[in-house]
Amino acid sequence: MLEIRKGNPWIFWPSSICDTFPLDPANKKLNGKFSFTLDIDFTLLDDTECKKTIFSLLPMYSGYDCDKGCDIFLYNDGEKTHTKVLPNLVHPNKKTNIKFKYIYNKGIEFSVDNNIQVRVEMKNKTLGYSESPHIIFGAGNFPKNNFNLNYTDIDLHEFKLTVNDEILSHHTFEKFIHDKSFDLTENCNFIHKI
Amino acid sequence: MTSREVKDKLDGVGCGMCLAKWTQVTMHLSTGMTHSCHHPAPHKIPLREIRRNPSALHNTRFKKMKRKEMLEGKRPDECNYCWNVEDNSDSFSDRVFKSSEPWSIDSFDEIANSSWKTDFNPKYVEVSFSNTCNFKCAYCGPQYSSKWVEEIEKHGPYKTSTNFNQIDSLRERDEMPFKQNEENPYVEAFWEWWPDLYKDLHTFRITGGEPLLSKDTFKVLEYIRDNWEDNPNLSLAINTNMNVPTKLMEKFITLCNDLSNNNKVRELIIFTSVEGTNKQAEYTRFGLNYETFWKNVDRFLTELPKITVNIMATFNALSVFTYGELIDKVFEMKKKHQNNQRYWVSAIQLDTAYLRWPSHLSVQILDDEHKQLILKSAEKALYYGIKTYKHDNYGFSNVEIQKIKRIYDYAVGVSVLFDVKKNRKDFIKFVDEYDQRRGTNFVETFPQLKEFYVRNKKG
Repeated sequence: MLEIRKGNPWIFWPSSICDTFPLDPANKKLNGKFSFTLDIDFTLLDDTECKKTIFSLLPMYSGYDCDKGCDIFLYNDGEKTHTKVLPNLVHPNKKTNIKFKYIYNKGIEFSVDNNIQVRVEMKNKTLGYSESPHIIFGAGNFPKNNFNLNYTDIDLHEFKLTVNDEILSHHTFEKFIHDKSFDLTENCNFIHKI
Repeated sequence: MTSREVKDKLDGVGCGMCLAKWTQVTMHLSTGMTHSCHHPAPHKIPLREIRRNPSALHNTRFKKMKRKEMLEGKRPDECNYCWNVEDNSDSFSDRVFKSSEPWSIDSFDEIANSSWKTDFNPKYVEVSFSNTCNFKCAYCGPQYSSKWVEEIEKHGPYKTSTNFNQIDSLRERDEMPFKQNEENPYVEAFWEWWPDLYKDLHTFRITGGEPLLSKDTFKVLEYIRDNWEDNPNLSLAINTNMNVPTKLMEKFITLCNDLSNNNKVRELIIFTSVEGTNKQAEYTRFGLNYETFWKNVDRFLTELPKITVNIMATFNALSVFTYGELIDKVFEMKKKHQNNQRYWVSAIQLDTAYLRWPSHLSVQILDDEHKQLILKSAEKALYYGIKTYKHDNYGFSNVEIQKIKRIYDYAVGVSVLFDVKKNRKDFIKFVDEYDQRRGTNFVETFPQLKEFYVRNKKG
């Protein structure tokens, strides 16, 4: 389990450590040009009424926030970030699963505990493109940027990134090396402390 | 400036442009040889040239002709190490890394606009005063090790297809090292040039042989101790195998303490070498006591809180099995000795280069399953990696990781010119004779290569 605490978010950005390694960093598959599924098991520990970011896909912002009285799903289609307001689906101290399924040239399907909550059609549009996308867990931005942080306390239990039916990154957070969670696929697509 | 930006800038002059040919020199004074970076083979310095001008220890006519090629958009043949990297992988080659150094890139405009005939005072100088050494590493030779000279004079060259380390050709080419007690005109030229050279130097590095076994090393240290005001910004680097007698080590540490603690140099970096662990490291670096090595590294890092130790690892076929353990050990030392005073931020660095010569010890002779271990080592370094170095963190840098990964690229990208069968045959002949001469046991030391050994011995 990865214990993420307020002010200390973690990040999925394996290509940020070394220019040429891993060979095919999985974060680059989140650039809008590939279909992918993010599958995340977590427990939100924070029962305050502040806005809390579970995850944020950057720099073209997509993500999931929990706020007072509602949850918010966000996605970026290359032009702007759209929001879909949902009822509170993520409850403190309850293990939750979210799936973010993106199909290139078709759209997004977003589920919470296997119930589809959002369907977005994206014909002739893609998720916002960037060279080196990355996912922050437990914050909406890098601490150094000091805005839209929405820090929270969450325990991550499992993370899986699937591209074209192939699991490119898989974490159960049992093994850590130098503040990096070991990627069980052995593709070195680790999640690390910011 | 990023590596990409430096490459683009160099390519703007020509696809073979490399600033190291001007700004950098390694002078092997024991043999009278010189080259700019370590990839091209060194060439002889004509005595008549240094008689006229001691700076011809660097600015030889031969080198000026290579500079001419670079300025005219050609790729000098002697630099094919870099052309191989550039043509066979997506990694940047050493011409980019070497040209990126601040002491190099700052001279870009001056060099790009200069005539190839112009003398250029190097900013980065490496000098080897003598080949005196108490080691005879498997990949080394008589030019760099007096112990190797003794062995070859006693037993002759190795009976590989290349007659490895034959000394006759050295004699024919006038490349036999001067003995330590002989008068050496190259060392004399160096001392003639030194007061002028010292004032403008960015980096001065002493290599060997084992530098701590040469009196000229201590003469340089004492000169700097007494004349440091002429160049208080010098970056001083000294190689050592970390296995010299205690008395010399004490003397060296005392001098280093004076230079470092009294700010008589801008920085002081210690370079050393190892490319494996325990018995396997001792087999390859014959003369090494692995335990003493780390004891001395630990002592340096403890007693000299500002210095950085850089391990230059010559990754070879015998490195693959324990390189991962070495990475663990280096990481442990990075962690233990991180402080906020180090010249290079990191306490210790692992600088990995691949061995090209002797080719029978190249990673290219290995089976695929062994080559995969190199990738595993690179992955380990990646997990130990950090995005940015600061005084309050530690780990492997982008460059340290890339250089290990590049070994894998080199291992799997075997050139058609590399005769695997012949080199494997030479490898077997080499280790058999090595064991016989030195009382070592290859198969016992490298059980992972037993099957490889047996198969290639038959075949």
